[in-house]
Amino acid sequence: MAERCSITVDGQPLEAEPGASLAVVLLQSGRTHFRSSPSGQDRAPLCAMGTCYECLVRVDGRQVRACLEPVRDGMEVLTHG
Amino acid sequence: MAERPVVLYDVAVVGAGPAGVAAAQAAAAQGRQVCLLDESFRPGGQIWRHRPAAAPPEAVRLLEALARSGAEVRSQVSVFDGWREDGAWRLAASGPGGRQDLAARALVLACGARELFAPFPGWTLPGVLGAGAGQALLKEGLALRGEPVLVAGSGPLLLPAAATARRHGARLLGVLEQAPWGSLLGMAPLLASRPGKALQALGLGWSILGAPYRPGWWVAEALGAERLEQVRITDGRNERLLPCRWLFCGFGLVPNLELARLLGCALDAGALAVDAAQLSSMPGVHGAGEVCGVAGVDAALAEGRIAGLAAVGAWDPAGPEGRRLLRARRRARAMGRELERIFALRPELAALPRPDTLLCRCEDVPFGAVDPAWGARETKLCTRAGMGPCQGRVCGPILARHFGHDPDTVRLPVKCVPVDQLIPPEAGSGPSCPPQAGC
Amino acid sequence: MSVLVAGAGIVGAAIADRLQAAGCTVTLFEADFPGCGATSAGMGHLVAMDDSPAQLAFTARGVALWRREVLPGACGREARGTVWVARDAQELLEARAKAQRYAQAGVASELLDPGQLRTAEPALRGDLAGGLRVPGDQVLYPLGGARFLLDRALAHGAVLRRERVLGLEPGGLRTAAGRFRADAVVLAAGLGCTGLLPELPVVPRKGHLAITGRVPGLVRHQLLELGYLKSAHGRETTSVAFNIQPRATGQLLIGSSRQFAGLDPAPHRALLGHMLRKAVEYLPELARVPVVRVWTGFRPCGLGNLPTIGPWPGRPGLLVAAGHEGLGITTALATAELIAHHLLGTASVLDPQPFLPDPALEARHG
Repeated sequence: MAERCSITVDGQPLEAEPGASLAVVLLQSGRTHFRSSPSGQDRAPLCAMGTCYECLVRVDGRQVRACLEPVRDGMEVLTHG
Repeated sequence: MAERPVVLYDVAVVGAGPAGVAAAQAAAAQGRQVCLLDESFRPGGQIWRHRPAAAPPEAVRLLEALARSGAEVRSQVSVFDGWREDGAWRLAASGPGGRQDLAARALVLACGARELFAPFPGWTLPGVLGAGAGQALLKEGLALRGEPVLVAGSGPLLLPAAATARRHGARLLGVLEQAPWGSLLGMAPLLASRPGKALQALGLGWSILGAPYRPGWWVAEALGAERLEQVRITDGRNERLLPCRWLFCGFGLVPNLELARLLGCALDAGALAVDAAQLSSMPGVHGAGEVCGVAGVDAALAEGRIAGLAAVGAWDPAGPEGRRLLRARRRARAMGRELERIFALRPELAALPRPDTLLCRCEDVPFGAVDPAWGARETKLCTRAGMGPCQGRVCGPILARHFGHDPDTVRLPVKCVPVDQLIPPEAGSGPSCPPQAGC
Repeated sequence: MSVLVAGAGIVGAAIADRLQAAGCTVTLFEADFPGCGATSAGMGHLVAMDDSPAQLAFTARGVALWRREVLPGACGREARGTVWVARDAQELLEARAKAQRYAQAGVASELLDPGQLRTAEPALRGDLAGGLRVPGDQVLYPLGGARFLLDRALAHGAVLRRERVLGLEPGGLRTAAGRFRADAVVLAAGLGCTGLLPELPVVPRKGHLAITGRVPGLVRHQLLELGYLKSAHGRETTSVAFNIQPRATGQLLIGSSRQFAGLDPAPHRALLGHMLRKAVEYLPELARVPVVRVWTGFRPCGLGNLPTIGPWPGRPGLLVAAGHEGLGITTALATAELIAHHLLGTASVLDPQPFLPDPALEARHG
């Protein structure tokens, strides 16, 4: 059984494998709204390689690309940023 | 702001895909001080983007050789600036601990390529991803549990993306290849002379068996309220509406030239220009792999090795290994050029965007906002297209295709970087020798 | 009256707009695209600046004229106000003196004690001595403003020719398409002026700007250190000053630097570093905010702290409007008012005298 750790996303707890891609974890949980575009559209990963910046979320206060962010225990994630 | 003394390496390699790993391993195995910098959380680039347990044997072998070579690997590090100072190349990079400065006598740019996006109405809906993107997320563990996935666009990368989707449990609706059957027949002679590739293609075809592979078809529109729900597909005459949750659409690759252009390297046909020893127009700057033109993993491995050896003065084109590498490069590059011709994008794709279809996703600039009479700079200033965090990486190639814009001059930072990391360390901490291996 | 305007930056556009509205027939000439020079490089801070009484009157008039304009959203105009920041007691005294000068010029301002400064701008470091808030100042997307004025001029019948002016002649000018004659020629070509009128020295004064990712709400006003004027005033030195502008998009524009370095557009890494270090000193949270782009621009710099605006002695029919340095956006409309006064005799709120060309002075420094 793979290792599990706990993170929170928009205040809600989520279990994930430590070191997994945060983008994968968020998509897997059914979330498709990573950030809001300037005109308010929901956006989710497009390139999955750190190029397009569509997957921007806030992790522990920092703005990061979810597709380049490995999950760590206790991480606090905010979407819609 | 952490201040590390600036270390002088023999070679700094930017990008840890197959080309960069090959270059770093080759140079370090010659006993030189090598630093390999990469943005992802582990080496492998895009094509070897697997969880370590699932990596292909070829990747495992090379990564183990890299580990044995003594090269210093820095992951999660984004190079955002480069310049020449006191006879050495200087790089500034952004890492988890802050700014990192390093100096190197030679550079190998193995920055790879990124997906080309060809917009269509609805392409910004969540659930629409690049083909390589979809494949990468699947390899990193995204489970699609029977959800309907369509793979569409153009090029040899569509089949592996579809096969991976199938293997990871998706309900593959099919693969739409915009190139017509007639163009695809051009693959036959290529595969006939490359039995390894032919077997690979057969294997991929087998693994998507049951799902249609349709040349001459493309996606005209993606539909849905808050995420992708349906796609409208067409062959130019007929149309179909399919329920769909995931659309992996890939239209080919674009070399990542930003750092090369910042350093002043000359380009050729939209890629980094290099000579027979992988040397660019700037002294001491080599290039290898997709950044020199899209040609696949075999070219990347051969060129990476050539560049790594050349960067430390150990490249011997006349020896048996040299001849083997040159032959491998030649064959791979020839195949790359042929594939580009076969999978060229048809004009109907350029006519898909409507005036309200977005061109720049960072700044929500629609196609209709661009006056075709404007040049590149005027467009950027009047519409803000290209002024967002992707720094024109997504919309730049779109503007080039639709409006003929040449890419703008590149300025630092080549990647977004926090304000404090753009502040150079105090003058006076000149380059020092790298630490002894094993310390 | 027929008028040829050389240069379709914000100053040329404002002049064309003003003259066309007053019944002149205006033809504008632009070698590249409208606003491609300093207009599109700068911040677009509409600010009352008091390096001298004449400058204060000029900028105050400029801001007042912009406030009157009803601008479309694309111009990005916001009534943000400026906060001049005092780092110590000495600067606070300067702030008080500044407040008095502003009051005499009819510009409203209010002194802020440290508590009020914190309320106005919570992200500023907590140990500052206070500040001066100027609520009437605004921000504008400069190219948007220039295009607005240009479009209005064109809508009233002005003509834009995308051609390079090759030379000035008595009664007109010359391009590759031929000679153009008119009652008057206005030279508003920014750095291009000296090529057409060598006795009018306009030199490039390079500045750096950095734009960040979106951090809405971090900064409310345009922020300037009180030492800014020392940077703008000094002629010989390379200098930086704390200067931050919040934009409607939620991005921050970080400036400012000044150096005489010819026309090399490459960013100067060390100077950029000084500018950013200063910005982070005043606004610590800025340290982690991502920078999306850095660019440089060239302010068209004349000899004094005022541009040269008015008829050129010895060349009947030729007027100039050049050398605005960092105040071109703020004073574009006030410049147009002065030019209209010279050409048409219309009323001028400003005394035109301090702006008049003085060829003897220019020649000594040229």
